[in-house]
Amino acid sequence: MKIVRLSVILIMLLCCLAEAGGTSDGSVLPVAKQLDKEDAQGMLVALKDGGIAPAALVGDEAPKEVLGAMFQMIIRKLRAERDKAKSRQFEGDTYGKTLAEWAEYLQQTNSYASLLLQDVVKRCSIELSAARILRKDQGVNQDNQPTTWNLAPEAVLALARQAGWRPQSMQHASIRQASEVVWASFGHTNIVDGYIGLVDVLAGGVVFQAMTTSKLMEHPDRVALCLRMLNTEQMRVCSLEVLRKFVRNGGNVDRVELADTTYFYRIVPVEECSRLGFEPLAKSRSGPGDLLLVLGKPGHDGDGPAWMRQALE
Amino acid sequence: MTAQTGTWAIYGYFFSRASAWFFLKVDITKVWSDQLSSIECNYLPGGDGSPKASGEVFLMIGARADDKVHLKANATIEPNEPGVRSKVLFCLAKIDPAHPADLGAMTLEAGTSTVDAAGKVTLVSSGFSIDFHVFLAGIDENGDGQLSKDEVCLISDHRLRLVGQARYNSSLVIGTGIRDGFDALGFSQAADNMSEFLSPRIEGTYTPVEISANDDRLEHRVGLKLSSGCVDATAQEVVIGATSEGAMDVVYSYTLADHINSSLDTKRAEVAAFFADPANAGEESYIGSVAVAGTVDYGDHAALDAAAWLAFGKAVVDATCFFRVNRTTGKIDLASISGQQTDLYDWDYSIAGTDQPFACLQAGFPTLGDAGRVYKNRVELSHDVPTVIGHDMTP
Repeated sequence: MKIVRLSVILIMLLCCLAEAGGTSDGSVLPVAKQLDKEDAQGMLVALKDGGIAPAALVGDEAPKEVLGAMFQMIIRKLRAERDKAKSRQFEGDTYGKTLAEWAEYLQQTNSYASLLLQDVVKRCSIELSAARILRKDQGVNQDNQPTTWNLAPEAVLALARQAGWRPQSMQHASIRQASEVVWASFGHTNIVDGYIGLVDVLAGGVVFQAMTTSKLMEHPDRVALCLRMLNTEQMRVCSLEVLRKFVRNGGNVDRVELADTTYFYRIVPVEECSRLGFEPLAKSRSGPGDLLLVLGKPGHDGDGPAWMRQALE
Repeated sequence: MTAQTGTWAIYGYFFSRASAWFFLKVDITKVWSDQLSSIECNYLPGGDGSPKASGEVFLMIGARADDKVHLKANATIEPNEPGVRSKVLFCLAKIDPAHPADLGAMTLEAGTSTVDAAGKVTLVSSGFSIDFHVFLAGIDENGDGQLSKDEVCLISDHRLRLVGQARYNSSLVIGTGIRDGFDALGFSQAADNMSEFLSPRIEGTYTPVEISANDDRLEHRVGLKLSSGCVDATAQEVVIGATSEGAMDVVYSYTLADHINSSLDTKRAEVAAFFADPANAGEESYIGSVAVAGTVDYGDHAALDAAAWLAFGKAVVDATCFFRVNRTTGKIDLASISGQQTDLYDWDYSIAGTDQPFACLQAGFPTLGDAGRVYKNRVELSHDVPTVIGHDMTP
């Protein structure tokens, strides 16, 4: 009953907002407070049962106040869920299911805020997968990763569309092609090694600073978000796979170091690593750095993976 | 009473004193940074570091801890009389890039200056910025202690970019953000190298090496604790071992492969002669070696070699490639490299983008903070080079 009541309140609020063309923070807060009492799973159930599509909350057309409040709330829920799961050493299936359900829900819209939230959820799932791989959980392998987590070229292209670009024959675009469209649509057209715009983006440098979730939401930067989405996908495709192979081959992650990679390459030979590239970022091979990256060591600033700090900051 | 126009060497200024008219002529022959007190290593002309990517010639100068820019210069003043010298003032002026020689478009900066009988100028400027500045000289005719535009008689062509505490601090924030971005993206060697630049290892915890301000790889003559001999004898060399991931980034790079292939091409005739020699008829392979030396610019393959490009930029390789050529295919079927790659970790402000905040940090070291220290890095190379396997050695 409580869930239904919340949904109704939210729908009514959204209707009011639509009629009024906007609202003050004050009218959103009571609803936000109600939803805030739910955990991530409860909130998602409420939204689904209420038939509320993510576009109404975090879509490009959503009222600014609703978007801001809902975005912050979802991040808070995810952070709380992650902290809870982490305190349990990521044991159990609940957290993983919650993440997958949130991902599927958010994927209904490829608005800027939704793509950013999808990325946060995906990073949480990568952290979870890494923990499960280390724990040698059965069933965690690349083959049965749900397609939920694949980065769809369409999601990348959405960033270019938001910049006014209109697609032409891009139905079968690869992620690399889609990302090059994004770079080009923001003026990064320099071609190096056959890659359009990638080096411009990396050389800009400023993009690296804009990649935390709060900064990306506060100052929308589609180039930075695209780079971050590629970064996340690279971790899923390369880092997790390297970790999986390494653990499967009996490797001890505590013995992996960048200063001396002899041990690592004894466990995962160079030839195998050369098959684990990520074309959109021109990455031709993986290595111990990818393994350490996904495990968050050695970080240069505090503990934990730098990319998780980016996600939850 | 008007500043003359023309090249800086012939500027002049008419002024009256004791009922007589004088023609004041000031010429500045050398300008140097006094950021490190009495260290005359960062100067113009000729002492601004290696040629800049943009072709611009300028000095990068950091403020001292008092957040003021300290400069010195050699000047000739005619007439060189105490009464005249006491009225000659120097200051910095920000130029308008669109009209660099237009005094009217310049912004004169606040500061104090003195000049001694030998013509040595000491200037302390509290006003400055990273924008191009030039040196001005003139006569303080109204006695207010500051130059005004109608008192200027010299616009020098020595260009300066000046870094204060605020810019240094903001550059550090940018640098840390970029380093964290490298970390998150998995560019681990780039992140490590940048960490060393942002938070240099404490002296005494490593075996020091020397870096000279005259090293032709040094982009700007800043970022070092220079002695009067223009050498930092407390600098650090970071060794990146042959089995490190950083060395792998180098060995597997397309850029190094290009260099090795070019070197191998010089051996084509030798290989052909070997196989053509009847005395070698029983040999299935040619085994040889070739020197691989010179500057490698990872920017040549900045996409494919992004890890090496972001970590090293340009570097110097001094190595030997050992190789084997198969008689039947005429191609390399085995190759390895042994030697080293060396680099100075420093930055060129004239390259727009990421380089600029790092060049500002470099300029601010050590007076504005610990970050920005230039160091050497040396990558040891001792590895197979699969990237050149299959290279055609037929003539």
